[in-house]
Amino acid sequence: MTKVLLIDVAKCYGCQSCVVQCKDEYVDNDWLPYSKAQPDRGQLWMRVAYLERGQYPKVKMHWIPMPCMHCDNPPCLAAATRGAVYKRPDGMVIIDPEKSVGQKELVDSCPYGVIYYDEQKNVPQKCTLCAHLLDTGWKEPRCVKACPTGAITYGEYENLKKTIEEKGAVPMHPEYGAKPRVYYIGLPKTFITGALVDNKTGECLDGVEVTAKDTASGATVITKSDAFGDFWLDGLDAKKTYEVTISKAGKTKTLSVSLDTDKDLGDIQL
Amino acid sequence: MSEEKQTRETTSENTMTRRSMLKWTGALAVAGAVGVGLGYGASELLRPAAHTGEITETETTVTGTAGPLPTEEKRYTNCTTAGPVFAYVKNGRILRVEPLWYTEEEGRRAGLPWKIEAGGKVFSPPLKYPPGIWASAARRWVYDPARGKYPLKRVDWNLGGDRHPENRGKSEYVRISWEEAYDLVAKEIRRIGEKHGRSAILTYNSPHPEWGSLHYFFSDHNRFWNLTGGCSSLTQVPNSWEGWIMGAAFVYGFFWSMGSPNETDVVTDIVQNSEQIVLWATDPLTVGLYAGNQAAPYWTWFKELGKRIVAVNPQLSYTAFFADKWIPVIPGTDAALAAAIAYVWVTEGTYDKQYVDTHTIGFDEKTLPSGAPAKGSFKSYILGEQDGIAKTPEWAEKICGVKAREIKALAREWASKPTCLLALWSGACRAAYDYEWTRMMVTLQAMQGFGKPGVNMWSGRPGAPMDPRQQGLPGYGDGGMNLVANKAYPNPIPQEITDGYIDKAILDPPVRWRGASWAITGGLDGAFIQYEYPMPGMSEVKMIYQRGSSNMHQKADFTTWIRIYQSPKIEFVCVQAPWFESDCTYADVYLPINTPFERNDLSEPGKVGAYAEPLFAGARVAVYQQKCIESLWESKTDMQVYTDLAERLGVKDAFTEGNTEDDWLRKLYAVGKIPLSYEEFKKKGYYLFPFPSDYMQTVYNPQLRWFYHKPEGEGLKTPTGKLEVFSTKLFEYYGFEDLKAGIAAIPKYRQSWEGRYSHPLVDKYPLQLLTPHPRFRQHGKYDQIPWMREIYKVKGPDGYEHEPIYMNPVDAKARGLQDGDIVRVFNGRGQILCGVKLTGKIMPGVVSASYGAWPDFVERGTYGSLDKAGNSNVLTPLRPPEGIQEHSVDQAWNSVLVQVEKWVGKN
Repeated sequence: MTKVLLIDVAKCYGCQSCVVQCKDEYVDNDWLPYSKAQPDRGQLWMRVAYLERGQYPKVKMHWIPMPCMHCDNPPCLAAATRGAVYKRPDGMVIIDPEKSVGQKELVDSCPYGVIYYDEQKNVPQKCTLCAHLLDTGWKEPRCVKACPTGAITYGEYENLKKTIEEKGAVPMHPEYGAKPRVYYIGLPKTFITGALVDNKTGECLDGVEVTAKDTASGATVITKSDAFGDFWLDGLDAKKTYEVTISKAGKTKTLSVSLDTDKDLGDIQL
Repeated sequence: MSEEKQTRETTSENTMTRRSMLKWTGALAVAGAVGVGLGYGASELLRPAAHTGEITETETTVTGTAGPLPTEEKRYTNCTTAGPVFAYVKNGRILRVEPLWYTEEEGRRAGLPWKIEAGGKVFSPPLKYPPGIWASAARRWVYDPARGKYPLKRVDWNLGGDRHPENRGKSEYVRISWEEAYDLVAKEIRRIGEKHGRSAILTYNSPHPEWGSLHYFFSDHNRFWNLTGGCSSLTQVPNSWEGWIMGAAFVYGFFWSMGSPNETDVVTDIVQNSEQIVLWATDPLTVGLYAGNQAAPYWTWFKELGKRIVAVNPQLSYTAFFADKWIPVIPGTDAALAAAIAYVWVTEGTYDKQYVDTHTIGFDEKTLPSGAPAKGSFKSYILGEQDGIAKTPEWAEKICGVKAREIKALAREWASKPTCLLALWSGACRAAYDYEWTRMMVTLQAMQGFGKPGVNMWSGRPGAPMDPRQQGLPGYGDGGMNLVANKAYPNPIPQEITDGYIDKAILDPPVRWRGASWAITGGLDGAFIQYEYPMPGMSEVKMIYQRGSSNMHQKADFTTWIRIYQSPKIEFVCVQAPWFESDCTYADVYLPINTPFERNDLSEPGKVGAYAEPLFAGARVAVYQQKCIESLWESKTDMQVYTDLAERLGVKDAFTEGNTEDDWLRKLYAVGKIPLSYEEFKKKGYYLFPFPSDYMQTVYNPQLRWFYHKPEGEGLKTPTGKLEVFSTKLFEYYGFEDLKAGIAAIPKYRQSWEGRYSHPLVDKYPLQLLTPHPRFRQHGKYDQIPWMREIYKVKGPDGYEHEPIYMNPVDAKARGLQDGDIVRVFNGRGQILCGVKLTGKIMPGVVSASYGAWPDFVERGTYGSLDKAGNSNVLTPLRPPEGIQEHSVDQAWNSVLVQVEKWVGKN
């Protein structure tokens, strides 16, 4: 019976309701033995990171909700002394507000940057996934309940496992080895975009197939240009070289693109 | 994510690395002082005042997604300007404020949630009400240190002696008792009324005070002033919809509803029939004042159904997160883009020729009204038969900056797919010649058969499935106590001042203008009524009384108000409001008002009144706004203040008619015909309107579908009943083209008086400034709330939180600016400080800074002083310098030129 959060990044438009309703739950409210009150300013137990990809006018916006990852191999727990951090049977990681007094090192122990330090109370603090509510019968943490689009789902891992696998949901930065219990669908990668233009009429070329082939692995991403001639080859990896192939009526144009960040190839005449 | 992306993150909006966050924590002492009213330390927290009324006994059994309440907690229902909420209270203090939700069982009983079937799928809204963001922060603004705690008097305002009007905005305040405050205010009302006549008293209200229908300006404020002899009224220009009221209304009627068509069942029509949504110049998920986020689930449905979403806007809006294509357009040139789309349709024959023949006036020559000049049709204008300029995509490209091939692509997509035009309200309707663009918008939809399945217009908020046979509770605009009193009192004083001419009226009268202000009453002719100030036999204004505050700083060119408040003509200024801010700091007497959590009321979320549809996106609900805590400090309701003043003026009995708050609410509730006793409703706190199981068969009637099917008969509320692309009403008043009047019979692209091509002004101030509705404030309200400030404000090196200004890296580079720099933004009207946010979401040559930050002038209360907080309304024009200026419209919030430079001075 272990819990996870599943966050669909494609449904988050940055309304910040989760952020502010998290504040509402914790600022000036002690929820002992789970947490001491959050100060009025300076801590975001849920924060929504903004990521903008590409350059004007070919930009994509992403908002990524970042609560505590409630890791299964929590670096904070490893860094804590006197049992200041504990992991519950349901998977939640809690900083004990009494035992953790003075343990400022917990802040830097977290690679996700979700632990804060209250200098007044001398205590490290973070998201408790509203354990104080869930333990008394609430079905969801405040942030989940706050979300207008259902971008954040809370539930049993066993129940969400299928969705996680089907949608290819992954934890953020698995390479940290912390084994987070927060899974993300659609974490942004890197794109190549461009606009196809008919070299005779000067008009937008619709429905033209565009392929990106990873020159190292041979893996391909295929898309079609839209009514504006735009194509978006998304889900690519930076620091790789791609062979971009554009095929129209038997004619083929091939470009080699070494990708260090999202790239706009601009107008491409065909 | 890669390291590199994390780096990029840190340079963007609302993100903080751990390091910057820690630094911030250390700077709290500085930041804590920002925006807090005079003399109130943040340490002074809740001190309940004496018992002021009954706290409703509520149902405490809470089931569903929450567990049982701890015995010491109680849950109350309330409603904010941004949506309905539950307030959990313990020991007389609000613990949490949670958006309203309902259980599956409650829903089942009411036939909710409603369902829309489309594309083999079924869509339903969640069983909750995602509110606007400031509803989520309600607990913080209830207990905010900037709450007005006691009645205050300006120290150097002496009733019997020198009143020092020149020090308004500068002087300190002293606490006085309510008795003293009432005596002062009553004495001044009496004295000024007797000496100059009641027209010498100008009253007005915050356009968006706290939520309620009994406790609202249409209720207590209007009743008090009308009953006691009347007053001059400040009427607002149609500040969020003006292009529609002065433009589109002439094409399709709808003059009574602010120039917007009804949006009945539009959501179902879009979900089922529209294949494309053109999101033009608007950001409904941000500016949905009363719904906003509540409409967000729709967008996930649109995506799931594969609808094409195209955003046309100088700025990539938040709603455009869901868009497939962004078409940036140079501010003020939207009408040129629209004209070119029409050109493509005309020349390619891809418009509904039969529809324009039967449903429109003056689209082409054969439907021109008698007396119209030859080549006077819209089609002739588009083809260049009037002015020799064909409105080709190539012509438009040079003006609006959109590539001709993209204009053609957009036009062809639009013509080939039933398209929802999401443009109502919006930013382009708040710009120079905005009425040209709105008329073009309606005309474009007319060309595609406006009213056909999937061809509609939307504002992005209303239009959810509902049962129109359910009357529901009165909206705030229906009059509150005046609606149910035995006797209502009209205002005997006809004198009005439009706020578009407030400076001239107070400082340099007389002044004349045309047109009722915020909506047109009495038909389209209402737009041409001649007003003057002072009216014959009426006094100039000597006293200003305001209910609600957060007013002046959300108006265009608002520093004008400093001069008004400091005018020696104004003998007395009184403001009553919940927070001590904005206009309050210019008052001679300030009276503290409580919040909706401290009094009872009843309402429907987003329900304005009889003249507008209920505004909701999920389930329709009526809410009893249960008082859940005692009034904080010495605050009172507006109604109590007016009752007490009425008593001093000897008219208390007429004001109250012997009713208590509960009596009034009981009477208002009866109007709604809800099949639940008043006591049950009051205790339960909310009522879900049942949804008809046969919605599609019985009540589904989207927008103009009726007109699409039957253009004959009574038709629309235009003189001909048709879609008047050629306005017979404008033709009647101004002829075919009276450029002095500023508006021709047909829509045309006209070059902004302050824009990209306004030489030589643009050479001095080369950036176009957009001043959109704020995302984390309601206009000027809740700017002080740290829970939202820390999401978006830009901190200077001294820790000061500035309003962000969004800028393209190209413009930043040209000025040597970097992300996070503090800059001075200025033009001939004023200067502000902002914090730079670099983004590819905005066109080069365009910057954007929302208005409404609580102004913080370097020299307090001084006209022309630098505003550190960065309220962009320091820079916006009060009225147009040309064109339609005779009408009290066209405040051009988005036609503003500025220069931006790095701020190196000391704050």
